[in-house]
Amino acid sequence: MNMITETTSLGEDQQDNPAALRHRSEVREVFNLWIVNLLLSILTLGLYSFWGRTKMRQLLWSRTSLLGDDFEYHGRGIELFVGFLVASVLFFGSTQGLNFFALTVENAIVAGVLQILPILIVLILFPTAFWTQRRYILTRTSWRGVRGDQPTGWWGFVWRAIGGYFLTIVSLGLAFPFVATKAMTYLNKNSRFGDTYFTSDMRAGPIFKGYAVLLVSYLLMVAAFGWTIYSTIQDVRSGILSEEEIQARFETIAYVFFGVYAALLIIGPVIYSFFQLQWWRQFFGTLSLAGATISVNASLRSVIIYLVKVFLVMLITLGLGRAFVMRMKIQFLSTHLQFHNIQQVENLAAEAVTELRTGEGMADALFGDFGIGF
Amino acid sequence: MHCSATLGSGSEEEAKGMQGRFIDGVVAKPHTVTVELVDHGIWIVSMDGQIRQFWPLTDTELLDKNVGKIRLSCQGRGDARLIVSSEEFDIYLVDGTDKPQSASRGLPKLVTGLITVAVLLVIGGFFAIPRLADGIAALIPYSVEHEWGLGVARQFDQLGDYCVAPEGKAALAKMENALSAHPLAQYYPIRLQVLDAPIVNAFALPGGHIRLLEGLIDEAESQEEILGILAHEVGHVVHRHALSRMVELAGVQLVVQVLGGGSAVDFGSLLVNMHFSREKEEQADRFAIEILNDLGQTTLGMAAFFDRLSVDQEAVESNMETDEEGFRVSQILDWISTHPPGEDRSKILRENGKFEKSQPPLLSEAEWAALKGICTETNPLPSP
Repeated sequence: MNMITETTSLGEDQQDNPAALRHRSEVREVFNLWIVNLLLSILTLGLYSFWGRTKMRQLLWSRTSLLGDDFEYHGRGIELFVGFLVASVLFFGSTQGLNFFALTVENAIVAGVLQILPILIVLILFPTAFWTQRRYILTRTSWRGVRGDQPTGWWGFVWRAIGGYFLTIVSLGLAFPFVATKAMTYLNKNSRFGDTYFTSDMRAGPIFKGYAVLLVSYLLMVAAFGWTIYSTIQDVRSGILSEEEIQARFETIAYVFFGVYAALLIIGPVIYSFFQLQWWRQFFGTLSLAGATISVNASLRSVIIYLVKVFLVMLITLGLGRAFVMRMKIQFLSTHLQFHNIQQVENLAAEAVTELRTGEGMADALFGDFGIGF
Repeated sequence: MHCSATLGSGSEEEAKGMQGRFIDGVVAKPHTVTVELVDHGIWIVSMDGQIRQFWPLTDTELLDKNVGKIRLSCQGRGDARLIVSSEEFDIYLVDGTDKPQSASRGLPKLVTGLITVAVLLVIGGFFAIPRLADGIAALIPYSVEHEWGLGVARQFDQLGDYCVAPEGKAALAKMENALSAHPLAQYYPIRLQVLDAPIVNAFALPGGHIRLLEGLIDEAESQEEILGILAHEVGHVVHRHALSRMVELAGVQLVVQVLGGGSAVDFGSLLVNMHFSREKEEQADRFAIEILNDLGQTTLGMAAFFDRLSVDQEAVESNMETDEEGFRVSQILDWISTHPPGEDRSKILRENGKFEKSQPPLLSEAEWAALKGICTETNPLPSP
């Protein structure tokens, strides 16, 4: 039996058993491409990075398979580059144009509104950039000749995101899990693969526990620290403290700060890992396509190890190693996601996708690469 | 010949060769096919006879070669893919006249093109635009510059309250009128204000707005120093240097945005830190010399001011404390940072000025004293 028929029979055998993604890129080939991309990007003052990123995605996608068939990335460097140029000029033109226009207005209220407008534009553009990038990556990803898409839901996502900013701020961050799960569920429901839309029903409750512990820890630390400094300043001003007492107070503050900070450095990643695990469980665990579902079998320990590795890679590469992080993410998900009833997706039919010739330029121009959209 | 498809007309007898996996780009269900290579193309025939396609090698692209598999696509067939064993496929290709094209062709061309674009952007942004800025600024109507100038001045005036002592304002108005009456300045009305800020500096903003800061008036030892500096700032106004600088900054900022990404910097903050090139400073100096000569005023005051700054700068550079006030050194540096000193600037002022003493001085002793005290009264709103 040759390789070709092996993969076919593998697909057939999987009908009643859970299937997994398989990722088989080697660190060496990723490194070789990464270093070439880096050097060419330096040589071209950063312009090559669009083509470099495209090649890296092509490599990583083509080394990832489901039921024996590889994913394929169809994006082109020129799309990213043109999109970035267009978005840069539009953003630069609109914000600076408004700034100039504000200079010409004498009415203070109108001038004030004009100066606030760029902030509002950014508030709208941030979710737009995220939405557009996700849509671009979906339309440029295919498996078995069928592509993904996210044809609708831009405005719905934008207002959910803007509402979410304010809710999060007003609630001192507590509302974030609710806001994020609502927005992501909305995005998932507006996404499809081939002719079939995903279903999704992310819940904030399970995510909230870990998140609330993390947030409350930080808030308490900030509040306690702020109060200590404030009361010390008040005491110093009132003159009731001697020089030695002031010095002792500040030494205590420093010890407390570093103690709490060190504790959070250890506890923080554990709680964050818990949050990340719960997020993936909600994201993938409630996602369904044509009857096919996904379960997450990762443990907290495996997520902690994964996140520590990500941190170390970013540290060692001075933040330039996003390609390795993306590979690690795909590899992690390949190991810990299980697909059920996956044979159902064989009935998916290809559907025409939206052509986004400007790639994910908005995200590039404003905020850089968001990653792969979940 | 293009990639063609004949559905439902194939048969197992017709198709001979290796096995392959075919993704038709229509549904997600893959097909096991027989792949037969002929002289100039590939016949793809499914086992059940439902698929029969011919892919000419000239239209066929090699997308990927990995773990013994080759993935091929064909122009005009969308996301249809043929996956075959690379070992078997290579044997077939040995004697073939045509070969599939590689998807990763053209890298040297791309890199050369991008380097060219990058070099052009740098040349354009950092050399061409600044050199074209004067020409571009000349195309912008003065009415537009005036409007922008009002806005810039509104932001700039947050540096301090307006100095409005009436006698001081009257003395300042005398200088302003003398400078405005000059033919060279008649097309660009001057709008002069003194701000209550302890900084040794003066600024020419777009639209004829000139801001003199109290620190500079305190630092000045004679009325000729102030008049010379004002004449110099009027020089910036009539040559529209501030507008030209705005154009320059916009060009550089755009290139930085394209090459570096990230959000654009707020123009207001750039304008506050605005300084002119040495050439523009010298152009403003030449204007000042001309206008001072025409007014019968000496240029030596301005030269003396430059000399004192030059001495201060040398002292700062050799880390010497020159002044017990301490902070004055940093204020002098502020002037230097926005008005690059030239070794010859005071020399040129001395050599080209017609008068050793003003004929007569523009202000009386009392008026000069009033000007020195202009900030004894301040107001957050400008006086007319």
